[in-house]
Amino acid sequence: MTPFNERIIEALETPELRSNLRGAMDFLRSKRSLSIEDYALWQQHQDIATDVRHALPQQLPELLEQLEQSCTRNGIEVHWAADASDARKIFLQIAQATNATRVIKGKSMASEEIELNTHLEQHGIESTESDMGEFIVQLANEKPSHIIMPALHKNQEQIAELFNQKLNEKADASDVDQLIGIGRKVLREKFKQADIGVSGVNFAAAKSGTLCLVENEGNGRLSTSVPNCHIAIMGIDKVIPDLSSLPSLLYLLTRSATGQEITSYVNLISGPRKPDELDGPKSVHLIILDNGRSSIASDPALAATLACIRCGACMNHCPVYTKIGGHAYGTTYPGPIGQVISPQLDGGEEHNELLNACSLNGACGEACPVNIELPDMIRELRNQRSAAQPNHTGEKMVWHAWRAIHQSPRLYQLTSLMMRIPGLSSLLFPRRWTKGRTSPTPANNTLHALIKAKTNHDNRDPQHEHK
Amino acid sequence: MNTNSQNAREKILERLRLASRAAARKKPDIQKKERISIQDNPLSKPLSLRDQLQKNRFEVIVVRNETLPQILSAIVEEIDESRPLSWLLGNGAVNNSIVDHLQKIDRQTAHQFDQPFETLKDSIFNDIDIGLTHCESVIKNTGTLVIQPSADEPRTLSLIPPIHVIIANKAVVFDSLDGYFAQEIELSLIEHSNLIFVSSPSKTADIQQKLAYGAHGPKRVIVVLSDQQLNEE
Ligand code: SF4
Repeated sequence: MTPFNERIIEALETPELRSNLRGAMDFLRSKRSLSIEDYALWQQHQDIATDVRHALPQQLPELLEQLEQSCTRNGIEVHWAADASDARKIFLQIAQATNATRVIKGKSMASEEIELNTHLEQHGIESTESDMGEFIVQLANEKPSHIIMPALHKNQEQIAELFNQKLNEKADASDVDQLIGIGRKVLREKFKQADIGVSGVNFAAAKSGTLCLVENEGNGRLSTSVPNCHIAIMGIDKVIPDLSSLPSLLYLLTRSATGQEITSYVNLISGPRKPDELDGPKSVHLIILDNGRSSIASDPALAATLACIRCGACMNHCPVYTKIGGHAYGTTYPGPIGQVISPQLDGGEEHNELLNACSLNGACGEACPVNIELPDMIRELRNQRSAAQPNHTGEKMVWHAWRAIHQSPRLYQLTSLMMRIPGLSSLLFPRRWTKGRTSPTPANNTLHALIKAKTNHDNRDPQHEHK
Repeated sequence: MNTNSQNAREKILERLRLASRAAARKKPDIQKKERISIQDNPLSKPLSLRDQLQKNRFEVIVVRNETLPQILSAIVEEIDESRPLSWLLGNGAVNNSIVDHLQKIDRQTAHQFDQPFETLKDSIFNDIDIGLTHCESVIKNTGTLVIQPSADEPRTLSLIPPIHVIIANKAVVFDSLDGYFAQEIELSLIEHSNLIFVSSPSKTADIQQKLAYGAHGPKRVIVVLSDQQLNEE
């Protein structure tokens, strides 16, 4: 059994995880659908955002250069990282140049991607996650299981228990306000002491050199305002031409992610503290990270995934994610979008296997606010992958037979007849499949026969037309 | 930029240029979703500015012709705390005069953000109860207040103290974010290296999807508007 299969089974055999996931998914889905009150307006914004985001693969080189120029003009120092190791080196150089020993982090998936925390710890730099969900996950020595709600796999009791153990606090499992109060208290100290604040970037406007950050808690604002130095890490795909499309992008992002009309804070940063200002970081650095994205741009089958605004809707609507949760995927980005981009971003053949975790139901494509056709991509990737594996003769024979049967009505009838011979059909289902399931019993009459009978009946019934 | 970063830059841009040329030759159609026309939901009628702000959990104070001391008393009344309260304000003539008036109200002490953050850091984190800022633009349909930190009113004023008071009775009201971005954003960006769109007190639902306020930023936000802005007669 592959490690991926093992993780799936482990997840499915943990009832607490399944009920936590169910609760979280129901919550996020219903909030999202309630937030789309005016569908015409939704479609208008969707058109604008889709056009801007899908034009990206072609415009990337110009936009990134423009972003670099504008940021530099604004006093933001720009660095380029071809891969995770580049990004870690750049980060460490900045940290060491300023003798930084403590880092406070706002939510950033790009920093997860480069495994920043582990790297900093190895170099004696303390790195603390300040988003409540990320903080919980870090305390538990885990990774986020969702890109928007990192700790959704844990319930209140588990979190209180964690706070009791790790923070030596008398946490009351029945009182969420108290739990959040504990997090606030602990993290305020960390904000005060931090030398560097880290953030991700939701969108970066090339024309004005503006970084846009979206959040509810205020930890992102604190991370980017209190420490002396702010380092933002962004994938190259976060760039947008200018701020004119931002209202549409925000409209879709916050509704799709958490069902909010807008987040508590939208933070636009265009530079460090000015000479006459009294607070704000004295230096702002932007690390532009490729890490596989340029190969995605070069692959016509995948390029559209660069349009992704990381809202998480595709995972919230995926029947597989809903059952197994984010950890089972073993990647930075789980769920449908993760299945498609992880082989490129995280590298390694083993992530190709993630494509199996899909029932081709199409829900992710329906949910995606920027029209990324994830189901088509998953199908296309499966196709490519099976073409690269010519040895599956058994599977090939089955599909050849399947095609022959479905192309000839006579053969089709014959097989349906045979399927109804008692005992024969169960032979056709693989043992491994029927071990945990009852093999389906064929109906007494075939669909053909039923339709025929109905047509005959309708023809005999003159009232039918008026019904 | 060091040589490593410079090399990475060339490598990334080169690959993207190749990809971009290939993409230009073979431009894929974006498959937009099928249009569904749905009757407008009568429940989705936009709320009034006051209702939208209150829905977002702002505490709204409406003023008509009140004098500054009267407005400040109304705010203190809304805050409704019996303990002594410590305020932090920005600089400039307007803030100076607010400080003068606040000092005259029972149990209120007002300080000004008149030194670099590093000097004031501990006291801002530990001693200040209320930060006060002004606001020049309000967005109606999302219930958003645009805060523009400046030399006079620094960034952390609206962020670290547990209560944030926003004086917005002179602000221009925009219908939507689109309107604000179309008319205002370019100018604001030139003048301010940081712009914050505040649409509720700080909050989180990271613990089992249960909503809690005062996650890292202010737990309460009090907004002062004028009756003209609300246009409610
Ligand atoms: S692929 Fe679409 S639905 Fe999934 S995270 Fe990206 S934008 Fe959201």
